[in-house]
Amino acid sequence: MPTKSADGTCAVRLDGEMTIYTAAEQKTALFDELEHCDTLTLDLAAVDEIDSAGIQILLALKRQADQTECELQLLSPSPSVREVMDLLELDTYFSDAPLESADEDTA
Amino acid sequence: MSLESAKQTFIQEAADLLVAMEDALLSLEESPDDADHLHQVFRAMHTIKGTAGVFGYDPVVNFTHTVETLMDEVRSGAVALDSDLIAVLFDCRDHTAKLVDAATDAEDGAALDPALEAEGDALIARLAPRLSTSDDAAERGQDDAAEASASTNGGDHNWVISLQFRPDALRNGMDPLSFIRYLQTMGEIIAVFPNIDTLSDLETFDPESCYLGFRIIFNCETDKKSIENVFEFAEDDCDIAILPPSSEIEHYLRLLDELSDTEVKRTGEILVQIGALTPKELSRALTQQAVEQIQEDESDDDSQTPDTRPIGSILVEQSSISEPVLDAALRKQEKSREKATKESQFIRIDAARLGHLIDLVGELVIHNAAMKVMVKRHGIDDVDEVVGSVDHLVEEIRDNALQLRMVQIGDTFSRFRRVVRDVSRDLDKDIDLVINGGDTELDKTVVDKINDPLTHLVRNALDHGIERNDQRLAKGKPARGKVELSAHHDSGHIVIEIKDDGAGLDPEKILGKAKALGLVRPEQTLSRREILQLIFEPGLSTKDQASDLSGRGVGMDVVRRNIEGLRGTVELDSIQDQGTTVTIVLPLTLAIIDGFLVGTGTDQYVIPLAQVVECVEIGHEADVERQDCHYISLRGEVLPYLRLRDFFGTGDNSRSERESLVVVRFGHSKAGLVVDELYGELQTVIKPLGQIFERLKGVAGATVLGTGDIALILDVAELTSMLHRESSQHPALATQ
Amino acid sequence: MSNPITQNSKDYSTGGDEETTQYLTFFAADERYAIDILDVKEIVEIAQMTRVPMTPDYIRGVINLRGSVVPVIDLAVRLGKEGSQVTKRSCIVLVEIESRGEWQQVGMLVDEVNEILEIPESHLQPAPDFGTDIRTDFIRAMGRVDDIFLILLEVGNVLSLQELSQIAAIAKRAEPGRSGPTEQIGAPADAPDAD
Repeated sequence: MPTKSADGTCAVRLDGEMTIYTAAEQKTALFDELEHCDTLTLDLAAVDEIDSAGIQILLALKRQADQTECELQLLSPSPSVREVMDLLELDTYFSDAPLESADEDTA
Repeated sequence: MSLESAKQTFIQEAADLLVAMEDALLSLEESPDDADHLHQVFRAMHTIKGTAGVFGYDPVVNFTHTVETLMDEVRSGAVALDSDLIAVLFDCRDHTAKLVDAATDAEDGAALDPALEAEGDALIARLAPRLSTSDDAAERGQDDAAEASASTNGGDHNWVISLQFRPDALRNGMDPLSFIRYLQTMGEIIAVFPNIDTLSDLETFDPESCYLGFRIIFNCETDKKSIENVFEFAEDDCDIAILPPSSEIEHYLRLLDELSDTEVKRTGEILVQIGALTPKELSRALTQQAVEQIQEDESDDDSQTPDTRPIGSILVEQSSISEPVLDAALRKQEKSREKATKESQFIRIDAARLGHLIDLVGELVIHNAAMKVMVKRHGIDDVDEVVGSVDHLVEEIRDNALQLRMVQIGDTFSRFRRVVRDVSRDLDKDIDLVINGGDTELDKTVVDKINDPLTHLVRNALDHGIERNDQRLAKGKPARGKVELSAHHDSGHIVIEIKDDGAGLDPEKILGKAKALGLVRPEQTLSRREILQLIFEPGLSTKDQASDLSGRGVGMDVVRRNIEGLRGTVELDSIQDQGTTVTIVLPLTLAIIDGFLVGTGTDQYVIPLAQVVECVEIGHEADVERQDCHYISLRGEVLPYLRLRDFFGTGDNSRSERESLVVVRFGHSKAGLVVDELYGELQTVIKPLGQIFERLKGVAGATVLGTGDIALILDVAELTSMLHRESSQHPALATQ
Repeated sequence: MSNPITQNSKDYSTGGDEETTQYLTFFAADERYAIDILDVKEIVEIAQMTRVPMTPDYIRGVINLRGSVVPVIDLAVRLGKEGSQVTKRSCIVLVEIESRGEWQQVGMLVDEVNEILEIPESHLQPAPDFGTDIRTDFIRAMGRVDDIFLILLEVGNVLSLQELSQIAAIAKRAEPGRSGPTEQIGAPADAPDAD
């Protein structure tokens, strides 16, 4: 699923659910990815369900990225991701990730 | 503080308060303006409500709240207290007792019995017209936990809720998001701050464990408990701290200030009472405290002072309360404590513990006796002095231990004020209750068991004894009837009299009924006294027409059986149109007494020392002269007697050359018991003989001697009255 | 049904999973009896016994059991046989009887305690209506183990406190020779109670 460009940017598009059921698998994949790039972009447009376990992975990923001076960008959140982001007011947390740009995908 | 023991304290406290309330209401009937008694009623409802709130007994809280509100208005003069209202308040008191019973018996979360609920609603409906203020105002209350947070007087309502989920939350099927979504439905989430500090390092990060924490600013007009309820399901998977809005803190401080300081409470209890702390938060902190205690104990066994952290600091750390509230609560506690040290001269002790102590003292007495037997047998002279002083100490300990369980009978008597009031109303009679000798003491275990027989006798006096007003006037008696309860001590016994100035009993009618029932043979002649005692026979005291008061299928035979079960006696005397007196004689204690050991043949018997008048050797005393096989003359006084050897039979046929006469006394009657041996005094621990022997006459119990043998305790009351009953039939003479 | 006292018990069950119950067997008046082991509280040696006057013969007296006063019933007499002679093998089988909501210990004097037997339900027969010389309500069932027949006693009835206390009261009056000067006490107050 990942595509890697020459400038060290990895782009990952997630689909289906980000829940407790998929968490173990996604965690391994995403952290592996993060290790190998300077910028990781996650396309969340096709995520149709997200729960606390999913959110937790995003938060952990963000922290790991901060620690290793990588950049994490979340792109085009689907409505269900959007709802949780709003509920927990996470936009500010991922502030350096230009979430606003997500809209262009849906537009 | 275990929950169960706290609950027991509540039950006991509620019972005491309700007794006090009843007494106050009775007094208010006489003088409705008495401020102390008004306060007493208010305090009872108020305190029960507060404590019930701690346990979440909502039906109790809701009901007592209404009554309390009314009483508050009565106190302020807004509502007038008349006899109708007092009558309703009596019912409210009874209803509260039922609610407390139901709440404390019920399983958690069980619904209130609909019948009880209906009864409560009916009572509240009767109170409602009296309440001058609107329901809304009543809801507000002034100083109550339940409504503590319901105040709606503007201000900010921003609660701070801290959630930290535990690792297993996700695996247990919790989704922290859903709780936050639910909060949205209750109020407005002003802000959410996720807490990621707990996210573990990458290496150990387990995507299926939960590391999430949130701090939520939540605007909602609700109380702490309701917010806590949102997280009820997550309780095991989440640490929760709920900080109240600043307006709430002010509110708590005000409540603390208003809280009565008559009782010393634990810090936690105070906070729960005002609603600053929920019971769950308290129990969590208590658990924490216990854990710390254990850790402390384990870490340094040789620590001099295993100090536990005060509950307050744990609560602040857990963000369950804020410091100003804690400080105010601590100040309150200190104030109550000061007051309590001044007031409390008494300690409340669990009756079971006291019973255990007395049992142990009983064993001590027996083993001390065994030790004395051994010392004597082995002839160790130089320990005599020590044995003597131990013996003396054991006796003192015994007396003191028994004294601990002695209570005044006055409390038992006072409860009948209510019975007399209620019954005389129902029957439309005017009856006074006079109490004498309320300070007479007897063992708590005996008191507990005489309540039923006493109730029966008092109700009998009210129902069948005292005549209707017009009948009394026609007989030339005052219209107002009188029932008298009195008590006094007499030779190791308590004498209780229930006396009425009513119609009295008709011996002819009793005799007629007894003959009809076949209890008396037609040709038999009985004295008036004997006829009157027939009332205690089964079938005789049941009235032709059943009354809902005393005619509950139990008659005077049950009264007698109950009293005899306590090794007591009951007698009735009555003069027609003048009244009836029932006299109950009971031993002061069923535990340990001073006894006098005698022997016939190989058998040994104990006579309660308090009933022994004197002992004389028959062969050597010229004063003693046997009249015939029933009477003996001692210094000219003629006594009925019996020879224990003949009466009880013996295992052997040897006949002692030197018989002795033990003169015993019961009430006003004396009698002689002829025995073979006098062994002397001993401390006698009374052991019950059990059901098999309950109908055995003349024997009241058993005791274990120093040798390990068992000796039977003689029932002097039974033997004496039996001898006198017989002598009254004997033509030779009549004793007093 | 299992019980810790199995080491010296013989298993007569037919195998399989049939319900069996353990019984304590003992001799009284040369006859073999048994009671459900769950009814047995303790077996004690004969200690110093204190006679209780004015009680029927089947009440042997009371013993001091670790500070408690416990009545002892002579089982043989209670079953209508000759009284037991106390020998070296005599024992007191302690049982607990419930009456009016209270538990009371009662001792049964027996000639000899035998063994614990495990008897399957199929080896039990109901008490015959006649043919035994003891009261039928004392018998729970008749048991057969190998060729030995034994009578399983209904402890609750044999040691019915209600009944024992009742008879104790009547027996006293039936013995005029013993009651000395009391024999002419007026009947009224002492008339037998109906309950």
